Amino acid sequence: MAVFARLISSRFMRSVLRTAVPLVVVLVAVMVVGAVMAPDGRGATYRLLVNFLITVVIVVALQMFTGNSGIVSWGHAAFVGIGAYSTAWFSVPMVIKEDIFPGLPAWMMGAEWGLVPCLLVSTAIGALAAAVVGLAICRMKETAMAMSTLGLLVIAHGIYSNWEGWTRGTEGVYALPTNTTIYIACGFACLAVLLAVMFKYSRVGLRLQASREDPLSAESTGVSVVRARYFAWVASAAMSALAGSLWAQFNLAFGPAQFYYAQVFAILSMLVIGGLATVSGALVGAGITTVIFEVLRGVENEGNLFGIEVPQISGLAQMILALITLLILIFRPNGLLAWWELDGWIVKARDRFWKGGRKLAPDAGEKGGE
Amino acid sequence: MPAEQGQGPAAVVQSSETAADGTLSAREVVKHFRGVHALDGVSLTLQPGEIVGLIGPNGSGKTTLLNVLSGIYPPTSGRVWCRGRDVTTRKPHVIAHLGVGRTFQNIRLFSHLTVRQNVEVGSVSGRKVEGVDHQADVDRLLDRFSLSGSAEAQALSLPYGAQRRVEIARALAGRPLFLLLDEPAAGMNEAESDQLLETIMGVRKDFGCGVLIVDHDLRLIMRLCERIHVLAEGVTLATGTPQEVRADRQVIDVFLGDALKDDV
Amino acid sequence: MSASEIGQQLINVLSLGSTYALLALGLALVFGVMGLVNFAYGELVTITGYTMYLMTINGVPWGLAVVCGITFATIASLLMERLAFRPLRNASFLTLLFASFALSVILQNVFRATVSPRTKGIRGPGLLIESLQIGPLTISWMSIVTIVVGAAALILLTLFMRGSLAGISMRAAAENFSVARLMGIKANRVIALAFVISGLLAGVAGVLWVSRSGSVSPAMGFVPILKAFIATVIGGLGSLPGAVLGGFVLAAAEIFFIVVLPTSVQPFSDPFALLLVIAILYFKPNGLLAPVAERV
Ligand SMILES: Nc1ncnc2c1ncn2[C@@H]1O[C@H](COP(=O)(O)OP(=O)(O)OP(=O)(O)O)[C@@H](O)[C@H]1O
Ligand SMILES: [Mg+2]
Repeated sequence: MAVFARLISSRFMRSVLRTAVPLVVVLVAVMVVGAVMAPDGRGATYRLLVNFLITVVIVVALQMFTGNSGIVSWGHAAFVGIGAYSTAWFSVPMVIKEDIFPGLPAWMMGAEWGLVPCLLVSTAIGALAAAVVGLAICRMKETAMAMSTLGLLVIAHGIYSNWEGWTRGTEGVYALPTNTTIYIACGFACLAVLLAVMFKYSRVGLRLQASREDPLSAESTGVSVVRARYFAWVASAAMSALAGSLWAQFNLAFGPAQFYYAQVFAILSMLVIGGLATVSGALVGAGITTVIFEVLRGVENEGNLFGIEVPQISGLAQMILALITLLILIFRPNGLLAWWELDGWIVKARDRFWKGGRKLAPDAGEKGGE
Repeated sequence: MPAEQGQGPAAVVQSSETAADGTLSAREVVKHFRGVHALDGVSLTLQPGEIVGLIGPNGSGKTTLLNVLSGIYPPTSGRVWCRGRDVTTRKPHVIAHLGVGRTFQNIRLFSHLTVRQNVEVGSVSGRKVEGVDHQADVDRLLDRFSLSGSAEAQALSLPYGAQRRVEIARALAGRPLFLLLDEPAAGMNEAESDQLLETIMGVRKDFGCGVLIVDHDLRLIMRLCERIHVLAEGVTLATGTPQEVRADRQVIDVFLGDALKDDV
Repeated sequence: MSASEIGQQLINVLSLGSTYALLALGLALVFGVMGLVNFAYGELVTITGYTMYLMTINGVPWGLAVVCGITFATIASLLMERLAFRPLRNASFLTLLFASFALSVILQNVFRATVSPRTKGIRGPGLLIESLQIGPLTISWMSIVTIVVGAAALILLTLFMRGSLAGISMRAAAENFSVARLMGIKANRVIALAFVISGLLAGVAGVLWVSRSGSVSPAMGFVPILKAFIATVIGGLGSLPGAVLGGFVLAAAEIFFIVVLPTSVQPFSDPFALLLVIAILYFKPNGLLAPVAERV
């Protein structure tokens, strides 16, 4: 009990709670909206909100690695894919599985598991794959790592598209059971946020951020940069695989194209728009991007913007999103939230409001250049 | 191997064989960069508790020697020993764990982390010592270097002098037995450099670590160091007490010249 | 495998490798002068392809279409620098990479919207699909042209980089940009020049690429940028000879797996080549010809 009290009062836990609580509140609010608007768990809004919550898990997972290490990963979509495919192997009804996954060994053929075992096994497979790949990737220089993660994406896509007996190639997979509800999605989004915040404030997280700022002086300060990167790589890949499993058990049918270029771009945009360095940024970016995408997809498919007719343009949503990302990079290169979590911004706003902006925010100093 | 002739108050004359245990030493280190002979067989030993100055004209290999000692560059030949271990090809973080801390000629802080986080990285990643209270240590260091007021500011927002102090605090947070300082007085005026002198003296007294300091500020070096090592074009020109070095004809000719005569 | 088969495959490696080498050089040059891995570089290849496509279907002779294709890629490269990358001049590696990635997506969608979302066929001069018989070797004219063009471009570029003042300053900048700045090399001029040459190389490689594949599509730039990126990294990002070497190593790895893998696993030849590349990087984390160590 005393240990617990000490933990709660430690600087670490205080920081974690201060940052995580506002984010969890936002996520729960999203869930409440969904649950109230669609109590039967149907409809476009419900689907949108659940997919948003799952997207949060994906973006937060990527933030854990890329945000703290400063190394871009194109490869995380591959881990989302691993989560989705392994969920399919263990959950699709046997009669269909014999048809679409003829290559599976007998013991997997029979498996028709529920939500939790599927999540566990997908996360484990994702973590294992990342642990193996990471041995090579995490030793490289930053630029080579970026290239290798891109290579990883291409390799994974090649496997998903061609490994007929296990993935059904480009035709894709179907008939997964619906297990992910808005409550489950929200629960995991909150868990992901909490873990990512804890990671950021942990010792490994701190070391990794130091290596992001200056790998060489981090090394000289005693940071094993490779080890810090490896840890984050495996953890964030495992979280991505978990998200993939959640996603598969909600969207029920998918193919290799779902884990490729367009998705990678969408996820990276979310991170860039909100700001790489913070977990809050990942969440804000996911929210903004989801809204933009929804509005523009309406335009694209129906040629209709708030009731005004506009000409139909293919790929418009993606183009606008890319343009916004580019503008953010030029005019606010660290993203909307830059270096401060939501709680930091709340404190700043409060100080400016009540103290007429005279006093510096206790958090992180306002004169810090951006 | 030339015997080190350290004669300052804290230095004890030792042969390099017995010195191997508690010291940081470079032995016959050679470092070439594509034909540039940055170091050409330099040997230097640093004992815990002594302050050694490393001086030489621009491009004489001072920074390179620090980089080799801290594991950033592998030497072309020669060895580096730290506390009885051959660390010649080890990575910088391994050497840091053995108790070597350093600063950089061009300040290299973790720019977007707070000052506190900068020092904290040092504390949680440096030499392992049982039962350290990292938070208390960090607080003490921030206090000692007058950084408590800006502890939560991003490192890059600090003025130059404060950034130098953060860098030293970060290095000390790792509980080093050897501290390598690359031109800590660069850009400082006389008053600031006097203050730096006090700081380094205090650090030696309280932390007991050996300090190897590179600087062009000879006034500072002469007052601070028990022993001075002079490099020129990658070779050792002279080593000895400040008095000896000051008297060395070669040193006067090649490097010190007028600067010293003024000072004496 | 018989000697003639080996010879045949060597020619394939040379021809594929010289295309990759050209692509990689263009990417490495720009990286050298401003630390940018230009993801939108692949779209320069697409621009060449579309220029040639639009001109040839409108009856413009092939030769003129080629010249225009290369010219447009060069202009586009310069425009990219002005509009997207100049405002980001001192940004971090990551910011620059993201920016070029976003630019690449923008351009792909512009192609989609303005030309066509679908793949279009493009027919080159008939000669290119014919072959030449030299002893036991059957060599397509396409390979010969590719090797000759690649070699010519490499030689010209080497002469330029070693012989002209502009080239020498660009090499100095590529090797150590901060030093180059100290030496007073005009950053704007050097960077613009790097983008021009990079655009030229993409244009030339684009012509070869399109002639070989015989088709153009909005997202076709992904494969060339991927190959160029891989080649520059295996060669050692920042090293120009490394980029060329990386191009040939990548080509050799790809052809090797195409040759040795049985038909049933043929679709996995590219993933295998990539794995091999990652394995190379495991042993040489800085690439084969790593540039000089970072100055501390
Ligand atoms: N990474 C590197 N690559 C190539 N040459 C280098 C590198 N680092 C140092 N050099 C060269 O090695 C020589 C010694 O440089 P070093 O930085 O050690 O000198 P220094 O004594 O610290 O000089 P200063 O007083 O100017 O700091 C110089 O000629 C320098 O140009
Ligand atoms: Mg120096």
